[in-house]
Amino acid sequence: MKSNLIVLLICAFIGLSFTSERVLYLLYPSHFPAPTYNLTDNPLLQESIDLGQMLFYDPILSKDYSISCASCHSPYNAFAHTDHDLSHGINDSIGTRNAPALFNLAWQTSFMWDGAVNHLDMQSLAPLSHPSEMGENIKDVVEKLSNTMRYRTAFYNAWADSLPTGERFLKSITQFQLTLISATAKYDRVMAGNDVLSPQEAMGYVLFKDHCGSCHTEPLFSSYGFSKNGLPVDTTLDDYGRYGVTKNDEDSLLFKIPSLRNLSYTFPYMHDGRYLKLNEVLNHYNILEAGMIDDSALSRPMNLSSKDKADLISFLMTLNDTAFVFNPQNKFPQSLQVRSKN
Amino acid sequence: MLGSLCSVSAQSGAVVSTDKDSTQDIQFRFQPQINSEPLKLGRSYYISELEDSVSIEKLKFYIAELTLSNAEMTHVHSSPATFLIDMEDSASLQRSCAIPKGVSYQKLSFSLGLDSAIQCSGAKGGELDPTRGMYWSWQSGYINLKLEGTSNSCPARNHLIQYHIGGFQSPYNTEQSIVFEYDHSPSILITMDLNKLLTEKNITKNFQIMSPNQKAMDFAKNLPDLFRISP
Repeated sequence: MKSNLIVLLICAFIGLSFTSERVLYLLYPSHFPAPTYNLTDNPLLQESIDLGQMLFYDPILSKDYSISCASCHSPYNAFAHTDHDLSHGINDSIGTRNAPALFNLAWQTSFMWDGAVNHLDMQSLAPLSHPSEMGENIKDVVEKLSNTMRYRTAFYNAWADSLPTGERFLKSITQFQLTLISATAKYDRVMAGNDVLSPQEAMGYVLFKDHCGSCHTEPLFSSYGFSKNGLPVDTTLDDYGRYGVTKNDEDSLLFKIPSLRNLSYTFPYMHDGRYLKLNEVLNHYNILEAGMIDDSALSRPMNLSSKDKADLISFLMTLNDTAFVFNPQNKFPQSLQVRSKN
Repeated sequence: MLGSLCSVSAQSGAVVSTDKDSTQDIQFRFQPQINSEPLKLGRSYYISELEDSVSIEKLKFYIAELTLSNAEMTHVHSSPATFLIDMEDSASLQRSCAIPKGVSYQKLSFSLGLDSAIQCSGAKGGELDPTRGMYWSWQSGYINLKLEGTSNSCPARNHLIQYHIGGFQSPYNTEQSIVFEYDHSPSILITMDLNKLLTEKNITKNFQIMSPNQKAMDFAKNLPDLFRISP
């Protein structure tokens, strides 16, 4: 199914002549660094990826069968939640943060806007258990899956055992998410020598490297570290970011740096979705008052002219990866479209 | 699963065989106690130090790297080496370790709680599966010890005492090492004195700890002192 992203290697193990395991590997362009996710702990198999995709799109994960992962992470929005500033959940509840886009997760070592989660495997527990998101718990989800014939079959295919467990559930969702790789934007074609930036995009690229590139590091367009960005606290949310995790004063208002890939699909922007337009984001960084934040990269405003802003945005548009966003293999899976009774 | 069937490692270089004929099973019995008798969940106990009754509804904790070792630096782990003690599952209180005959050990050691290597490396199965109710969802990390109960002295809603003690990152690394002298007996009772815990924690004031913080650290530091061993 995802053979364009993954190289299939048939490994025959010495001493196991009667079995050969089909282990898949992530394929990524040569201008990308090596992924940080340790695949030896969770070897990719097509069947586990398929199971993860089923789980990702299935509202069985929520308490009242109403919300799936894809409810707030839609494939057409680079797995973000377009038009919604804050995430939605069961019983019409509204969360406190903007649902981030999901791609290139194999290169990330902390998750959530505040880095509260330290491993991709464990990330799905957070929305699963949050009362304003899925309002469930993993024990009950695993039980629901155990009582569903199509999942027993899918777990058997993926794990050679029809019994769903927490570990298998989490690792399967991880496997699907690992395959969400955004590496086919115009920028990537340019890096591969197969395309060129227009004069305006090239001028924008210079501005990008000068003003944005230290946090939104190429080629993933994020260092995936944490930073203060000078936004005033929304007093209806009182969100101090990473401070909530570490309780360390120095971490107050640090938020995870998001990737700038696929910006056309992932609005609204910032951790609380306060800006609907990219222009508003640029304007924020353009007029940051000196000393508003002491982080060296943002200690001075960008002071871009209107023309500069247009050039910068034209470069940022080269990071839109339509082939990824509209990849039919990432959509709602066939296995859920015809739902048997059990 | 954690650990191999019985992982014997000889740091000094000598590899010790673990054939059935050449090994001996050492039994470990964990026994949380209240008023010096084995704890029964849901039973009301009068605690004279508190001048009130307490009922424990839930007690679960992780023991990691249960190890017998000697001065020659040879050591042997229980099987599995890391496990969950759960008062609702009496079988979980009985553990064993196969030691090679003819090798003597002087030290019994284990950790109460899980180390950061386990806590940072993704989803685990078996006794470490998050379905066991010992993993926080809102912030990565295992709950090392979960104790829940009720007492009229506890001013919380429904008089509920809730200690969910965890945290693996400095300054709130709650993992505790516990070491005992070991006297070669083939069966070891490891008791945990809950009177001491409930009295020191003062359930009238300090009745809810549910995240990695200073209170959890203070709680965790008291835990090694609750454990005793006897043949």
